[in-house]
Amino acid sequence: MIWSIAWRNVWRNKKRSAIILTAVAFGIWAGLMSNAIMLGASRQMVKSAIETRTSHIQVHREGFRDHHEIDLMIQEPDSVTSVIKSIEGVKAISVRSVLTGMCRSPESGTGVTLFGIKPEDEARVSAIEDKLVDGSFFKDEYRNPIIVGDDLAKKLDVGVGNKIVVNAQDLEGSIAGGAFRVVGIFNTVSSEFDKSNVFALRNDIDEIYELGGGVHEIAVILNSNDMLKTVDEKLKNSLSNLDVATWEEIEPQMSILTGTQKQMSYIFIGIILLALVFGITNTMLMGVLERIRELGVVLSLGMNHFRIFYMILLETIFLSIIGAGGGMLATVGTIAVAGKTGIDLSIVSAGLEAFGMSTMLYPYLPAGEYPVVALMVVVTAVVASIYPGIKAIRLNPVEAIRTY
Amino acid sequence: MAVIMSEKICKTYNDGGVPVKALKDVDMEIEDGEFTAIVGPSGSGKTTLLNVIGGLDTLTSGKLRVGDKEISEMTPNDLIEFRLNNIGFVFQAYNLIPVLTAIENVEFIMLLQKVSKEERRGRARELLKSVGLEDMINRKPIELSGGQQQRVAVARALASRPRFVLADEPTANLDTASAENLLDIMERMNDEHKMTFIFSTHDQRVVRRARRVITLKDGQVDTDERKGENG
Repeated sequence: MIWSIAWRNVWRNKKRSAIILTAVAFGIWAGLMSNAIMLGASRQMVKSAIETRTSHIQVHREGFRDHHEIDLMIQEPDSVTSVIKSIEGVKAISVRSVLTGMCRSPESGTGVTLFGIKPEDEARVSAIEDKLVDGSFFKDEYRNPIIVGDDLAKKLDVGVGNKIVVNAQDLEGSIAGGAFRVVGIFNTVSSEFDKSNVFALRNDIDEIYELGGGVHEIAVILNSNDMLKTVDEKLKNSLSNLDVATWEEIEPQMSILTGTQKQMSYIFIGIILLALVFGITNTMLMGVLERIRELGVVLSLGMNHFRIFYMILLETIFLSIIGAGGGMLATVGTIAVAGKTGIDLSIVSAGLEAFGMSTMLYPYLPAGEYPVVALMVVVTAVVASIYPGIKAIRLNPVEAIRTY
Repeated sequence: MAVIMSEKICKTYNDGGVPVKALKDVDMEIEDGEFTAIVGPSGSGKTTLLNVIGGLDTLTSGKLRVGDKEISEMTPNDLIEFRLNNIGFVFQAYNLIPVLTAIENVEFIMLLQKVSKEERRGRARELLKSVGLEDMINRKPIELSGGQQQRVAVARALASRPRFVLADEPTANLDTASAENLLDIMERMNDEHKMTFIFSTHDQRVVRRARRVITLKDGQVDTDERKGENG
C-alpha cells in the first residue's frame, strides 16, 4: 500500500509533476542524444579512418612507421602475404609501396605521401574508389596515372587529365622525379588526408623510383573490427620480425577518443543529473511542505520514520524514473529516425572535415547504455529524496497536525 | 482498575521565549472501559492532556502510566510503536489520507501493524459496515460529507484494536444529526468492545453522553464527575 500511496502522491499536483517530469525527460533526452551523436561521430571517424588511411591492421618493417625511410622494405612480401591470408578473419589485403616526396604542378607544390598500389587489391581494402568525385579508378589507359585528393587538386590547380610531377628519393638516395597524369580525384571526409595523399600504380612507382619490386606496407582488412585483437595477436606471433600494428596503434589519439567516450558520456549524463537533483529535490520538498498535516497524522497513527522516508523515496524514484523513461523513449525514437536519415551538419562541414568527420552524422547508442543511465537516475532520485525525507521524519506530530 | 494513571504531570511550552505551563501537577486516574469527556475553556490544557496520554507529546515532569507502559520513560521510537498498537486517534478535522479510499484509510493502520491483506480487508469492511458506510468503501475523502469522513476516521481509529480511543473535538465540525450518529457509534463500540474512550471537547452533546466528565482549568483538574455517582 505504501507503493500505492507514493504513486498516487506523485499525481496529486499534476501540473507540478508534469513540469518536473518534462525537465527530467528533456534532460535525459538531451544527454543521451549528445552521447549518441558523439558515439555516432566517433564510429564514423573510425570507419572512415579504417576505410581510407589505416585499414584494420598494417604490416611494415620495424621503424618504417616512424621514419618512412625508403629502404625499410618488407623482405619476401609474397611469403608475408600468404601468412596473413592464412589467418581466419582476414578479408582482403593490399600491398603498397610508400614514398614521401614533393608534388608539383605548374601552379604550385606541396609535400605528399605517394602510395603505389594494385587497383584491384586496393579496391577491396580501401574506399578510395568509392570516394572518387571525378575521373575513374585507374580504368583509363593513360601512362603513369595518378589519383589525388580534391583539396590537393585545388591547391595544385589541376583536374582530371592534367599532369603533375612527384619528386621523391630513390633507393640510391638520389632525387627521382616522375610525371603523372591525374585520372581521378577523391574526396574523403578528412581534408587532411585529401591534401597529402596520392595513389599511383605500384609497377609505375617501382620503375620510376627504382624500388626493385620492394614494398613498404601491407594493409589488412578484417571481416569485422571485433576480430581485431585475435587477428592482431596471431599476426604478431607469426610475423615477429615485422611491425604489426592495429588502427588503434597507428592512430592512438582516435583509440583514446573512442576508448574514453563511454566514461565521457557517463560524466556528461552525471552533470545533467546533478542539475536535475536540485529540481527534483525542490519538487519533493514542496510536496512534503504542502502535506505537513497529513504527515503529522500518519506519524500520530504510528507510521515509523523508516516508512515515511521510504514513502518519500518511492515518490522521488517514481517521479525520476517516469521522466527518465520518457526521455529514453524519446531518445530511442529520435535515434531510430536520425540513425537512418542522418543529421546534416554541412553548415560546419569545414571544421568537421578537419577532424576527419563526415558532415552527415548518424547518432548511435548501444542498448547497454540505457540500463546504466536508468541506474544513475535511481541514484539521483535517492540523493534527491534525502533532504525532503529528513524534513518529513523530523516533523513533530503535534505541531504538524495543527498545520493548515 | 485504573488503566491510565498520572502523577503530578506537568507540561511547559516555550512560546517565543516565554514558558507557558499547559499542565500543572495533574493527578488523574481513568478506569478501563470508561467513556470520559475532558472539558474546559480554551487554553485549559485539554488537548495537551490528550496528547501526552496518546504519546504524541512528551512530559516536562511527572509520571504517566498508560496501560502497562510508563509513557514518561519512553523514547520517541517507542512512542510511535506504542501509539500504533494501543491508541486510536480521532481528530477534529478528520485527517483522512486524501489519496486513499475509505476502505484503504481504514486498512492503512493495519498495514503498519503488518496485518495480512485478507484480514485487513475483512476487518476494514466490517468496521465500515458498523459505522454505516458499507456502500461508500471505495469513495475518496473528498467524495464524502464531513460526518461520513468522521465515521471513516472512527473506523480507522478502531481498526488497530486499540485499548484507548482518544478523540480531540470529534464533533466540532459536524451538524447535530451527524454528531449524534457518531456518538451513537462510539457509545456502541465502548459497550461492545470495552474500549476506553477519552474526549477532549467543548461540545455539550458529547458532555451529555459522557459517563465521566473531567473539567480542566488553567492546566489543573478542577472537577471530576462520574455521572453514575450523582445519579
